[in-house]
Amino acid sequence: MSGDFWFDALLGVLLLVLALATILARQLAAAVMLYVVFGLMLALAWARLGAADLALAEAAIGAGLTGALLFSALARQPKSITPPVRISRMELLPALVLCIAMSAVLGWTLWQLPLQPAHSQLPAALEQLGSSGTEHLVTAVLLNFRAWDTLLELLVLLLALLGSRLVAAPEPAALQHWPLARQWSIRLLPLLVLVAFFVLWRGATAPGGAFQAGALLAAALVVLRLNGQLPALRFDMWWVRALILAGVLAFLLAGLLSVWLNWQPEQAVQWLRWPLPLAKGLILLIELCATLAIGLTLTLLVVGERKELTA
Amino acid sequence: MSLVHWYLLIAAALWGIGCYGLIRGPELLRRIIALNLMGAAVFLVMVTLSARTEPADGVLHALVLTGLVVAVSATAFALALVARTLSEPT
Amino acid sequence: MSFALAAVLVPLFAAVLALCWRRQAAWLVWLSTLFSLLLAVAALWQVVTAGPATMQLGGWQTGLAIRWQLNELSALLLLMTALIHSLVASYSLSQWRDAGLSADFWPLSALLQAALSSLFLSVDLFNWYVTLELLGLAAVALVLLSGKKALQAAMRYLLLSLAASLCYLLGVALLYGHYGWLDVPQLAVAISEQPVDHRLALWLITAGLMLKAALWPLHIWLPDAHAAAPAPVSALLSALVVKGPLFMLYMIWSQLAGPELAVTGSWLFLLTGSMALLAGGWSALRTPYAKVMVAYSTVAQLGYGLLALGLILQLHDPALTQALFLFVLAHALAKTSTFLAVGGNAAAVGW
Repeated sequence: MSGDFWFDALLGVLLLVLALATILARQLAAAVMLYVVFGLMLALAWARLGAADLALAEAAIGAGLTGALLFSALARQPKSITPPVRISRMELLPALVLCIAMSAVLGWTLWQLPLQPAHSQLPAALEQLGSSGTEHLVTAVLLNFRAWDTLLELLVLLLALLGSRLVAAPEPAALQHWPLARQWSIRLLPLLVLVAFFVLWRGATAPGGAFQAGALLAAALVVLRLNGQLPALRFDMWWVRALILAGVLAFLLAGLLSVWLNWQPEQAVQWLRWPLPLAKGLILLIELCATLAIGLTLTLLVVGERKELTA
Repeated sequence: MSLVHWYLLIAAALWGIGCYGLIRGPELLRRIIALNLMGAAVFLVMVTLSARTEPADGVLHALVLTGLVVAVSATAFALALVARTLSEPT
Repeated sequence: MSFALAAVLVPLFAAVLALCWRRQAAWLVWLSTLFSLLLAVAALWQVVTAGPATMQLGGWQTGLAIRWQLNELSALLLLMTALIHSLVASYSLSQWRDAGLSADFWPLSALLQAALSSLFLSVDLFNWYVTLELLGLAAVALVLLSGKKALQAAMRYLLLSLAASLCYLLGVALLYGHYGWLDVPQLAVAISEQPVDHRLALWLITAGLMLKAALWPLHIWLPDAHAAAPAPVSALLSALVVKGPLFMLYMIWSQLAGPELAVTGSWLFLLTGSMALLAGGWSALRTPYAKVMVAYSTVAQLGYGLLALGLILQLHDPALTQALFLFVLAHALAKTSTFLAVGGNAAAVGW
């Protein structure tokens, strides 16, 4: 018990120190690196709190992909503005006081939250798990109980890509491909793809699912692309567009199918209600399409649509 | 002090740090990182609240997962915008 | 309910199809706005004849499922969304060369319509968060259609909008921590049965929504963003996008605030509303640019919305609720025509 106590105490303090260092680090590159470490530590904390799915997702999406995005943004920063801007301490004092006060009020309110929730959706969710078509609660919530949220979330991802395309940034300097990196990426590829689909498949019964799998797939594609082993992916190519829209489209078509199958005259229309015999298949199909869509969208968000990177 | 209370306090402090970073900047990139720290604080609150029951509240976990993907999408868009803003001579 | 569902799905499918066939995008989305206008009229007619309806998405019980509520208010707002979108789409279809719109406008505006329609129908706190993000990102992307000159405004809009969403989400997390409900009517029942101190949650949600709706004093991003966008986009932003958070503010304060908190809140809204009217009007008078003036007028006009909200919380008079949403409707129509007229003038004069 005492070992656990010290672990949590240390982890909590480490999280705060890393966050502060991220904000205060003089160099942006250091801030980005510290943020990635912070993300990994946060994943560890979530694993401690019994959220294995989220630890996996945070490591892959929160730390990994956000880190990759931040690094590629860092590479695009023009060199001329690197000298650190001086900030006067006095101007920031009100902000500092405000933020400390906000933390204090928030901490006080959180402290008073009941340790036993008055009510929770968990019992209802566990009760209905058997008729949801999947055995893992998080997957059941994401793809059945609250499927509309997930559909809208895929649209948010799509919008991020559309928005980023509108502001296509200038090309960063070409990279020299390191022979060792090229060899590595070729050898890693089958492993990453295999792990991605394993994580997807496992999502039906245990932690894992479309988003974690999509992030892994994106990691594989990004590495290949950065090493110049994959031709440029552009939104104009019909198959890229089709794959990116596949997630949303599969969801919408499955929804229409559910309306049709549940159709009874004189009764209210049913949207996104998977009939039980089909539920498992539909959920797996949507997840598969969503994984491909997420993987490809995230890849395009990280590496952009530039031409060959060869020097 | 229980595990739940400890991590809730950490989350409250993280929120303040994130807010301060957002105001302080000075670079746009750092403001975006600060926004991500604030997001991390919110998600930490949610995950910690889910750990109050045994087993943990999977509904909250699913909400956090949705939030994570939304956050990374917004970050990607914001970073693309930053890259373009900086490359434009003003 | 089926008509309302279709009114959300039609723009959604139109957006996906417009991304697949970009040459036909304009026609597709224009047709979809007209079609969804018909569907929204049918939904309103259904409410008037058959009474309000609810739908549990996925067919699960309340609490587990996201719930949609179709009543007079949401049907009216659905109709407003479809109407403004069809007006703007018709204008853009005839004027898009003059207005300097790129083809990217069409799928983005269709997504905006779907997100707003879903927001007005839903009564789920977390689903609202996702629709808010969708709305925010779509709005920023639309502002960016005017290219270089909009970059700074769009950047500021995006950063503030993300911070606002996080404030809102933190408030929602606190409420869920207290009560374990996300469904607003159920949460209202739980709060009245067992009141605890949920002030901070409500203030966080309010701050987030006020920032999103550009209510004074959190309006600083609006004039730049709305003025930088192409005319049809400004019309959509001013007429519709700020109304989504305003609607949520009304729903949350009228249902979730206890009697004491409601009085405190009402004073805040009355005060900020009057300030918005004065400050927005003053800034509108002082600016030499037509679009900035119209944008500041939105800031001022939203003050009336806040005043009405404050009075609703004080007096509990249903007539005031009607007044608030008739004002929302009137402002949406007026702002759409003003921005489109300014856009038309600018195109004719040639700047």
